[in-house]
Amino acid sequence: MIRLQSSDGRLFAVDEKTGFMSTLIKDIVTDLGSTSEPIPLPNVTGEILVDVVRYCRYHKDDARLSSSVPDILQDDSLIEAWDRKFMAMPDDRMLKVISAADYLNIEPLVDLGCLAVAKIIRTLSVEEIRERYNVVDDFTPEQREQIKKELERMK
Amino acid sequence: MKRKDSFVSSTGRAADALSVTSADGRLDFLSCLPYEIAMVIVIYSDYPTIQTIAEVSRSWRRFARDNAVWRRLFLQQTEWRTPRALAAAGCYYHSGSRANRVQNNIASSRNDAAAPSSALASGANTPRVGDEDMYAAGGYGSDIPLGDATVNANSASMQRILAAYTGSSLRPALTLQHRVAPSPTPSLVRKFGGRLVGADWRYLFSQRLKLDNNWKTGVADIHTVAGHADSVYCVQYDHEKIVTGSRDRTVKIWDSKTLQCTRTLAGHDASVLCLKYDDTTLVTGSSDSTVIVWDWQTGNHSLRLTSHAAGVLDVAFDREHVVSCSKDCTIKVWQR
Repeated sequence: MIRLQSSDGRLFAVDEKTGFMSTLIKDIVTDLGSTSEPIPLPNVTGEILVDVVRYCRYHKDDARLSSSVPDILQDDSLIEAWDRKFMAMPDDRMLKVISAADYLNIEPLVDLGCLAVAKIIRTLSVEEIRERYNVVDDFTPEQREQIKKELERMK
Repeated sequence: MKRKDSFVSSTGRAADALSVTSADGRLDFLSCLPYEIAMVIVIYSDYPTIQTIAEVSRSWRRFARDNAVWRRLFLQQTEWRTPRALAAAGCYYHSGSRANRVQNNIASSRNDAAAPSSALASGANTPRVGDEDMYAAGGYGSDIPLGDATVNANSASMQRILAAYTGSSLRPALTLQHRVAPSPTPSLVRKFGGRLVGADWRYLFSQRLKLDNNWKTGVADIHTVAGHADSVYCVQYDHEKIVTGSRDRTVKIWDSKTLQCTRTLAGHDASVLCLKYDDTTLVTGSSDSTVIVWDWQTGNHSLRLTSHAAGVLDVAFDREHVVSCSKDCTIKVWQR
């Protein structure tokens, strides 16, 4: 059993296989040996760790897949239903999950999270992106002209 | 451990940034996430989405213009993955199903060598320097310069991104010079301060796209080239010249750009039915039942192979042999 402690003091107990989905945790446990002391994760809040652990618990038995980026792009049905449900969370929570997954070095979760964000962006127009992600249009009028010209050239 | 430190520091950045979400949870993630992660999101996007991203804001635009993104977009198009493109991309291949798929694409694209190489060559004749995004040329060597931030290409997350680019295990070439296939198109790579920095993949993409669109819409210039006195039976070309053989018993060499005839080779006593050439040598077969081996640059014949009893319908050659086949039902292999 591996014990994890989130930044806000919540304790999580996971089995080794689940915990080892995170290369960071795997390295810590391998280096320090199993210990009853919980591993502190100062960069992850309890709320987000819940999602991360949920993902790892579900996927712990997956065979190590090679990067499947090109396929997923084309075919939505390649993403399993459970993952699709997992991906359906508010933007800010998803970003925190991605960040936590990167910190914990859980590669498939980083990929899944980034794919989720990419899929949303794909459906949005420029204005909708700005609106949704609070991005300021900081182009100068000259730059906007240049962009327009380049778009014409690319056609 | 070194790698742990890099994750802590990169997430430290993200954690701080994420703590400044606006009250309604809207966050400009591209500006807040660590570069490697933001890149993963961008490279999951398709071509139209990348164009959209490029219009959102200045910082978003920088991601959309990143050379690595365009390299991936380019290599995602299976028909565009010619040996030259892959050489420019500096791809190594490891065993595994994805790598095999790539290998098969190379094998099939070797069969139509002329078209893909002209796609890469066409239009890319002027070196492109001075663009404001010149700094984002990376993808090769152990460091990827990107404006102010220098990302270590050997870090675990960078390796993951790079592996995702072609779907095969990929190690970036240490020096581009060794990866680019020798070709008469030096403009395939850009120079920055005199140093080769890498192919301009966005430019290559737009050129290739334009070519594809031209094929789809039938946009093409038709040039009629006259000069032979009779039917033209065979042709081979490259970006410098077009070589034709005719019933008028001659072989003509034409300049690809000006379409002017630069040389006429006479020597056969009957129609020239077939021809092949390489860097130095031209081999022709004729109704006169002979095969002539020429030095096409000087126009001299070096050999005349007389043995067939009827017209020579096709020829092929390599460094050691010439092979001819004939209406006389035989195939002859000649040692050079």
